Amino acid sequence: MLFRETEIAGLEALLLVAGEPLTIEHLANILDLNSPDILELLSELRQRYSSPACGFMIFEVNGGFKLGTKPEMSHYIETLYHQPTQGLSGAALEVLAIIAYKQPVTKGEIDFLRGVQSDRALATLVEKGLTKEIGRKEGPGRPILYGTTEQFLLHFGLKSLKNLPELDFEKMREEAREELDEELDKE
Amino acid sequence: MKKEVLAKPGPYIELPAFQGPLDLLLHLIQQEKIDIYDIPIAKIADQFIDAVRQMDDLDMEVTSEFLVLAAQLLYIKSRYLLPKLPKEEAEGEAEDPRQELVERLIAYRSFKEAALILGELEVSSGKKYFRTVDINEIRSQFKEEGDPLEGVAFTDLWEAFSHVIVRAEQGVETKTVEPDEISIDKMMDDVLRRVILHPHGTRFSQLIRGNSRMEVIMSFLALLELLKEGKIRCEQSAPQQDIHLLPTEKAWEFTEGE
Repeated sequence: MLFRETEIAGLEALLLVAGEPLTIEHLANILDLNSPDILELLSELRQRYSSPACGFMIFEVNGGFKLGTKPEMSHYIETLYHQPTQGLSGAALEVLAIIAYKQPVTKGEIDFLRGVQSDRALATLVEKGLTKEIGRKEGPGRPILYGTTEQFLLHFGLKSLKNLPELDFEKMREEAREELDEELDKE
Repeated sequence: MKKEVLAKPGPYIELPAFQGPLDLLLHLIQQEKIDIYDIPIAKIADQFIDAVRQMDDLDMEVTSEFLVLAAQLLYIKSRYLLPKLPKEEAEGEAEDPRQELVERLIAYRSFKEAALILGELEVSSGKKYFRTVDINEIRSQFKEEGDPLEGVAFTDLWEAFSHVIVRAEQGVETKTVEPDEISIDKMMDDVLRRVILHPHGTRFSQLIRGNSRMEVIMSFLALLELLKEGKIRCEQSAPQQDIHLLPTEKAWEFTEGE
């Protein structure tokens, strides 16, 4: 798109300062363009960022767009803040998996599924902004219901919850059983 | 620590950090390569208890959850040892006492697997960082509705008031009128109505005027009262300039209430 330099610059600036991911409609409104134009500008911007000489990247999440740094740049940023990349602990990942696939879910349900208290892992996840309270369950005590956040999607590079790796629990059970049978046959 | 375990007689059980009793149980089942749907309870219960004992010996934290599951395993084991009640026999195939445990194990294993997948995803998608902008900070830069007296000092108000007073005193005609009792409430209604009529601002000198000193004072008091209530706000483009009075959103509450 020619003669759209100002709008591209505007788009870039908006993506930089916005706290929440910005939707196409919202961007179209602010930049006074229509949605197809915005999509075109976004792809133009993506094109520019694809250059190895650029450290930015546009992330899509829940139909919104956000500007972030390329994963390849993470070690520089971590050096700046003296914080080595720390993945989530096994316990935190288990709790997160349960929340991601079963949300909305209460702490009691998580504890039951894991057979162990999950308070600390859950607190870490809330603190990291990967999960949050999304309401209260009707019933005795009205326990808090937890769900995942947009930060969660960004952290795992997912466009939306629909893009979670599909887990066919039934199939997983069968596969595990077959595997076991095979092993038993061998012995 | 590992050496200590190796030195111990009896079955060797490696004890990685377990996420909980279900994790340990799952580990034992996988180690023994047994069908999860057909767990030899007596054997697994003993192994589980052994493992918990070892954890204790190793000063690992054995939380109550491990003991609860150990108790549950022993309970199931005992059900097999005891002869069935004739009543149960009559009812035919009673529910497998292991059923509930198996369901929990399978559900747990599924999520453990999901956690592994998420962990891989976390590594493969890489770390990215986002600028965190203090939105409130940005918003505060656009003064939408803040201090109703922003940029207007009390002395400015006072000065403006004095001007009007002077003008009122210099009034050409001098009439003597019986002082009317004007209530502040009435005056507030009046002032507010006039401000609302000009949503783009009323000049102070236009608003605060009257035929008598009393009326001017009362309208000024009413104005102060309305400012306090947040129904009106002041604007002054530069020092010594006219003060403009504008209705705030709260001003409408009043009219709607009527």
